Amino acid sequence: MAAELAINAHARYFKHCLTMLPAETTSLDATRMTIAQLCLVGLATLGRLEDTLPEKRRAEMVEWIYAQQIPNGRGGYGGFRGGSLFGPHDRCEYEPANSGNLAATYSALCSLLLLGDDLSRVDKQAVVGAIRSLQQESGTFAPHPGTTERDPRFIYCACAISTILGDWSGVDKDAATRYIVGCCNYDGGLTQMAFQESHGGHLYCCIAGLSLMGRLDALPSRQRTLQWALFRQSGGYQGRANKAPDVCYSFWVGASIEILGGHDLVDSSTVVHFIQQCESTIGGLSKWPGYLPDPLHAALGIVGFSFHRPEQFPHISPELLLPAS
Amino acid sequence: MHGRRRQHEREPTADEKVQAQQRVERYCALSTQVAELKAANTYTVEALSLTKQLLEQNTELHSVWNYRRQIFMHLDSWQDMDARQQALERELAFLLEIITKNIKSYWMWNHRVWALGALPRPEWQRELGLVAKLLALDARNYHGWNYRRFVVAHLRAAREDAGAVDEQEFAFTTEQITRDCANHAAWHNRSKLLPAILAQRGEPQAVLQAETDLILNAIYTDPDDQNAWLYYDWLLDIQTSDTDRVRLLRGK
Repeated sequence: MAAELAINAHARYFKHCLTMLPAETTSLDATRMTIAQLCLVGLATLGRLEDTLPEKRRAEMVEWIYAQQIPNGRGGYGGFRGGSLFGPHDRCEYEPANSGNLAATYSALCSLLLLGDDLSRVDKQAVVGAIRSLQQESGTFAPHPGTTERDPRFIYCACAISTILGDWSGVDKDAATRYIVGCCNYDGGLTQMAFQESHGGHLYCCIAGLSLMGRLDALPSRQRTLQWALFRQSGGYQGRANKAPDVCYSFWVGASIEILGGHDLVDSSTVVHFIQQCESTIGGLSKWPGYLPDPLHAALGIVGFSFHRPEQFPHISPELLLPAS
Repeated sequence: MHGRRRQHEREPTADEKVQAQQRVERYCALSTQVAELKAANTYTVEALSLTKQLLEQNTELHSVWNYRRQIFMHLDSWQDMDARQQALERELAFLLEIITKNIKSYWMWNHRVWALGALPRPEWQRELGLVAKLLALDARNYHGWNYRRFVVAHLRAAREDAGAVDEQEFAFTTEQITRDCANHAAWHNRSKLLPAILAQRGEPQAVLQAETDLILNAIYTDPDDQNAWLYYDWLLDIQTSDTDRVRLLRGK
């Protein structure tokens, strides 16, 4: 059977992104850790991680990741930074410039695991301590100290980190669950916060968070939420009602459907077809057919694709963006 | 990573390559300089200016936005309410200039919220006008609608006739829906406002009749569009009695 995805081109694309990105992506400078995670999970899903990145290169990447870890004793600032743009952390006295953040920590842990590291050098106490200090009274999480940002993205990161480290002492599950339930909308969808429109990205963060906490039963109506997710299929998946389908929702919405047990209700062939239309001739996938690719859309499109071709691609856990094993 | 269409690009000229290289060098030098100033806890007008230059080139440096806020709050002029008012009004103007670079940036919207919270005399009505213009550029902008609700909440608190603010917002959603009945964000926002409208106007039946008419128009325009059906479902559901539900279904 002919390959349905241009595996070689995508593997080359991820390898290239791990080396260098164009000037137009300057805005990603502070989130390199997440770009790394996306490239690595893309390669892992294609089954090409080890032959694209030789052992020496993987070891170098592990060192770079650990170099972003904030040393012990920095309270709410523990964890990993998103990148090295403010120089080595031991030379930067200004704490807020040098704090870990939950998204980078999540990306760092996933990347380390994908690279074969055993996490033995992770300061687990500092990470869990940081999570504890970043949870708000309302149940949601801030990504790092000194910011007004709070939303389900960071609840998800806190839950994923706790799962990976096997230590939930930093998370008040009742409070987090309460916040997520408060984000449930009439139409079954979930939002960033109360009063917002239902949104596929926040759907994923809430559903995966609940699942990792073992609290999926807290959903007011699992049936209605699954229905909302299924109604987002319009060829590919859209992120919100009446928006154009976007390949990254093949993961955000696709994985949510997997978690909610709705795999068999999806029109697989049209999802697969849409993802294929988003493949770029230079490798990688773009948000919409005919646009330029980027690592996020490439990785999430490929993982979303793998849910519909289980016999061809390794099983990726929908809750953790890691190979399920 | 918000979608750039592939275009036929020609190879850059030697001059263009040199210029690009110089831009890269300037960006790197600037970010190193800002990092050093941060590390030394520098809160000066010069540092403020450098952070502005850096953020103009990269709006997504969230810790530089944090640092910028710290600088503002450490300057002597912060304690003088008139100086603070001027400084933050300039800041709001700066944000408006660059928001179009990345209208989905969480950090720029958050920074705007911070600035309005810190302003001695915020002008919520003007903010409403601004967010309306931004929504005109991108009618489904998630941050924009959230920001609009934030501004409206402050307007309601600031004015004696909160009801008039609700009516104005309700009319805004009508305008958005009339312009494009596929705009889910507008229908969604309308559902958040309708309970207050029903409570405030003397004749709930007339309001519900008008809603039914709006829904029917949308269904005739595009029967496959989910918006109107979902809204109708919700409208029926919020009626407290079966009699009311039946009355609504019959459009009477």
